[in-house]
Amino acid sequence: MRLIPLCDMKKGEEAVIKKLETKGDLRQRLMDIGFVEGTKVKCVRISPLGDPKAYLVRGAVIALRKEDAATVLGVEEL
Amino acid sequence: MIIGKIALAGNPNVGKSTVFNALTGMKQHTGNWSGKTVGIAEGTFRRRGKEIKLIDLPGTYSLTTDSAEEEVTRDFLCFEKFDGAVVVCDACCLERNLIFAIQVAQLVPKTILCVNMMDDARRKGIEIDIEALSRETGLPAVGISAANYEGLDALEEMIIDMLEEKMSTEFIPVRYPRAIEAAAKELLPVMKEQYGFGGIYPALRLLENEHGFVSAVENRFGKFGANEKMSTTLEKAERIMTENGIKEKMVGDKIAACSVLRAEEICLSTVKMSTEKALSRDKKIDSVLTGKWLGIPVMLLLFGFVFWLTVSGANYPSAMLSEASEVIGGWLEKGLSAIVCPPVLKELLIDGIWKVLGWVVAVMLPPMAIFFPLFTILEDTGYLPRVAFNLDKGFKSAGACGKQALTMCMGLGCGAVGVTGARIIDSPRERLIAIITNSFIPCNGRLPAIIALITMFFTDSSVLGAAMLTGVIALSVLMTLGVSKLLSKTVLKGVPASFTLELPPYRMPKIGRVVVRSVFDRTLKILGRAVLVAVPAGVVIWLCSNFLIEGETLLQKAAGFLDPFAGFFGLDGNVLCGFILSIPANEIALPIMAMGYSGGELAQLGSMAETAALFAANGFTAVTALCTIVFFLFHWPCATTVITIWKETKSIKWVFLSAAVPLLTGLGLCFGINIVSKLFF
Repeated sequence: MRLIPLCDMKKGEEAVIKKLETKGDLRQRLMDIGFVEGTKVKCVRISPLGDPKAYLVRGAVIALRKEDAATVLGVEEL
Repeated sequence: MIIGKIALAGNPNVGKSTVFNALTGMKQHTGNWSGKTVGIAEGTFRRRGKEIKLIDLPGTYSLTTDSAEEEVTRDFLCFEKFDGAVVVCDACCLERNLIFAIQVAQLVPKTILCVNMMDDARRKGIEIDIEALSRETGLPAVGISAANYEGLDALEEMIIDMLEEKMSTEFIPVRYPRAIEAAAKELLPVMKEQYGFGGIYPALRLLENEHGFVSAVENRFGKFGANEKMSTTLEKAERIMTENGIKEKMVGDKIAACSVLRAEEICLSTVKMSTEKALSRDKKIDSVLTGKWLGIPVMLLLFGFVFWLTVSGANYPSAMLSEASEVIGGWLEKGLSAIVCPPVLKELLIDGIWKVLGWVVAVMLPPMAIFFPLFTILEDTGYLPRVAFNLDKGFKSAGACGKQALTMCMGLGCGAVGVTGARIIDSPRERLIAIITNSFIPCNGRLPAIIALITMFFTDSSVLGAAMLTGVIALSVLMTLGVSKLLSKTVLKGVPASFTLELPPYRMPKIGRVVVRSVFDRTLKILGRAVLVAVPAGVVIWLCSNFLIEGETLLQKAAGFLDPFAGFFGLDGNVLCGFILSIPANEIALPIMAMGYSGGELAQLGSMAETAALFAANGFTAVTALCTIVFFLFHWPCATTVITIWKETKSIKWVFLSAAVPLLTGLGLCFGINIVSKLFF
């Protein structure tokens, strides 16, 4: 099982969150909007400048910067 | 008689303010992005002869993180006295909204779930079973479409029934790991007894030792250590958890996971949809508006179009308004003569106050009345967060926040609006950067003057003119980024705060309401402030152009005095006087300059060619024109904006910097242009 950070996802790819390494306020914020272990995410938009990327999480589209998305680790769905 | 007080809470972008306005009839501005409502709005509604007070809390994603808005909401829900809550949810994104609703339900014993935008959801093929939602949560639930006034009666009835305890509001509790529940059970009665607030949610936060909430409680009720009963109970609760292998650090994660899973579970039996299908329309729109190749060009075209409409559409009504003000001025003059008014007073009133007032209204009102509705439409569709999404990388490298792109867009309309708009930026540091650099972006008051200077001194071809104007705006954007970076390396040191930006679903704006709202909320408000400053300015300007010293007007004297200084920066004394006297509103800068050159009083500018000839005859060259344009971009914010900055920051230091930073930038650039031109020409 290979862990991939969300920031490495390509548009259209899906993953399931396995581990949240985020620290501080952002960790709480991410959990509050539904980024918890076992949650399905899909990378749905990429900014024209390459960063941030936006992810579909529990019905909402949320954009995260690269450094922040790097702290959320997922696995490809089987 | 008011029979109850109800708090309105919910995530950002769920139409909470629309619900509030629809229920109370109070007009409050609502926009389609995070965090529009800061501070608390109140209103009342009447039904069956009963009056109910509504409190509109800021939109938040949770009750935990420490952004200012969330603190306001959390503190209200935890510590204030009220009788119940309505949590407004977006039907298109119910699951995410329920996470917050669950937090509230675990805190407020009487909570109603109000699922808004049912019509939008239906259109997207999302079906929500409201009865099932009520059954699964144990809470009263109602589906509405506030924008179309659908379901509001049912909501009002439900609120009254809940207040009169005619329905059950027993939330079916979230299951947490057994040790956490046991610890909370110890804590709850003591919390209630010692501090007077209850709810499993705050108990869990105390168990977690969440710093924000703990300090909020300690600030109100004193340190836990000083309260023996509280500290022994907390110790006991902690022991229960550690004995069962649960560390304090893990509590937060467990609470979040349990609530999120509960929301998921509720949705399984209440929402029927295909996410793919629901999002396919937005996906198509976004493939253009945030697309790799199209995103940025389309954005430029869109804003270009908005400006073009504003500038070209404003000309005709502006001319009509200034004619009307002349006619009315004539009547006033006759009226004043009839009541035997002293001539000096009459001139002061008519040529001073009335003319400046008429001028400000004629030049400011039409562009604002066009720009703000257009901007509000963009806002309501949900496009603006996409602008932040497209441009964030640039702002990140300047140590600022992508949402600053939005405050800059607002600044194009009016600096004061841009400054207020900076509230959408969560990090205080990044918000100050946005406020201080806001006046770098030419507002509606300065753009026409810049366009006039380009046409008079550089090119009369509209294509070249447009290209040059684009260059001018590009310069101001680049300087904004550069100076933002400089600020974040010096007085506002820090790394970019992490941010989460929601891209809300696209929505059809309700055009009629947009126009009414933007005219009343924004246009008239700003115009009112501008009129207030225009009156004293009128007096000063009149004195400057009529008070003679040694045969010269005060204005000419001042211009002569400033001339050597202004010369360093490629300007002349008269131009500098124009800038100083136009502190009340930038719109009047160019007319004052013309007035100074002609030695006459404030009058309508003649044709472009006449004005250009007048300027040229006074030694105004292409270099002067270039420096004047640059100085138009970067000098100091107008009085209205300064007042707004004070209101937003409450700090002399930041007000001062907001004026000094653009001024130094402008002087530096003009000095550079002047030197280069002297060397090469």
